[in-house]
Amino acid sequence: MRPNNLPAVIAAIALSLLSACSTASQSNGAALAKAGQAAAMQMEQSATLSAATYAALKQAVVFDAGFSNDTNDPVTQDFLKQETQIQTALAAYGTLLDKLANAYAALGALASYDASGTFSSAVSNLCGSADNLVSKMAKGGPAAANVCQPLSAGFGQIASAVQAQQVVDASDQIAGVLSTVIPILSDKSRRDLIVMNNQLVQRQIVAAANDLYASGVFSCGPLLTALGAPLGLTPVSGVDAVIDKHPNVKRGCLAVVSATAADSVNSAGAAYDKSVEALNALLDQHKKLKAGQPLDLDTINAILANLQGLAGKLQPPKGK
Amino acid sequence: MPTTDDVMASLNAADQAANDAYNAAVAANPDGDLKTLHQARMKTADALATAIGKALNSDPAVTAAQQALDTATADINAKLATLKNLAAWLALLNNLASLAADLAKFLV
Repeated sequence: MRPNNLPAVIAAIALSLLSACSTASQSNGAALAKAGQAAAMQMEQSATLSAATYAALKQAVVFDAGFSNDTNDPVTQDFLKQETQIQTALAAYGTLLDKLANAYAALGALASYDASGTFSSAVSNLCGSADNLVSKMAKGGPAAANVCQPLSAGFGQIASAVQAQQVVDASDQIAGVLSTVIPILSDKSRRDLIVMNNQLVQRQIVAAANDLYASGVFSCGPLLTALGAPLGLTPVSGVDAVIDKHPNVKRGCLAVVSATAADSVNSAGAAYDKSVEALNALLDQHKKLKAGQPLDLDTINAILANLQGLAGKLQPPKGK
Repeated sequence: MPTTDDVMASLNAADQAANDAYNAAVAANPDGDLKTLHQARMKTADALATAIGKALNSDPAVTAAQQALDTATADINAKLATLKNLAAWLALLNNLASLAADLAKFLV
């Protein structure tokens, strides 16, 4: 090799290394964005109380009051008023998860093509929702706004290197927001309050179903079908009339209804905890991306599967 | 003196028990007169919802009130063996009662 070719060779090697690093950052960014978006959307369904849940709560409470011949009970009215106020305070968490999903989608776009403008807008919304959560749940807590800045245009650099650096910076900004909100959502007292409220809402919703089952409105047929399935057995026609004549069978059906209701109430706490676990797992992956280490998305996918299972137990069932 | 978490846990347990009792009564007698039972159940639910709302919305105030109360409690405990003056005791206890009342306002 002639000495005068050496600079060109070094430049080619450097370019090749730079290109490899850029590709790794972008592919890691895209993978993390996909996992993060899926996790944030699932968390929103599993760990927060949606408008549909509050509509179900109101219906259940009003039905229950009518069922008990207690329609004008002022305490029941006050309960619904209190829950409306709590819903307003806790909506900040749902909004944050919604904006987090949007920010991950924008990170994915940024990793695929130059979408820095889209990301800046999405991360600005994310910071706004994080600051709103701080103001609603932890007055005087740390502000997230300072971590959300426009991405550097990187003038004078190779386009792929600029894009790769933007992905790392964007990932860092999402990580900054996660670092702000995770301690707030992990605080034991606050966590207990949110979970208690979720359980309280679940208890009210399943109580109405319990009233109706006890009154004979619902059939135990589907449950008996499930119990007979291992042996290929199916309930006889008019099975509920048979159940009425056999208190033991009715008691068994009621026991399953009660256990399912308790499972539904207890799932609220598990769904919240898994959601915070998912946020922590995402934060770990952001740190790995920044350090140029390979990502481990299996943990996030496992939490996601767990959250999906819990969502099916909550009332009304989520994500269907 | 119970902490905010203790008070909330007690309210939650009371609501769970009231709900279980109501459900058991409905299961045993779905066509019975359930009005009084329903009112009792909703009282515990309302008390819990009200306390959750106050604790969530007034977090710093509750925390400050609880910390002041816990400090006063610790102060009294620390002086148990040394304090002889009745007037000093009375001042400490009055302060404790006042702080307890302040905290109770947030939770009931």
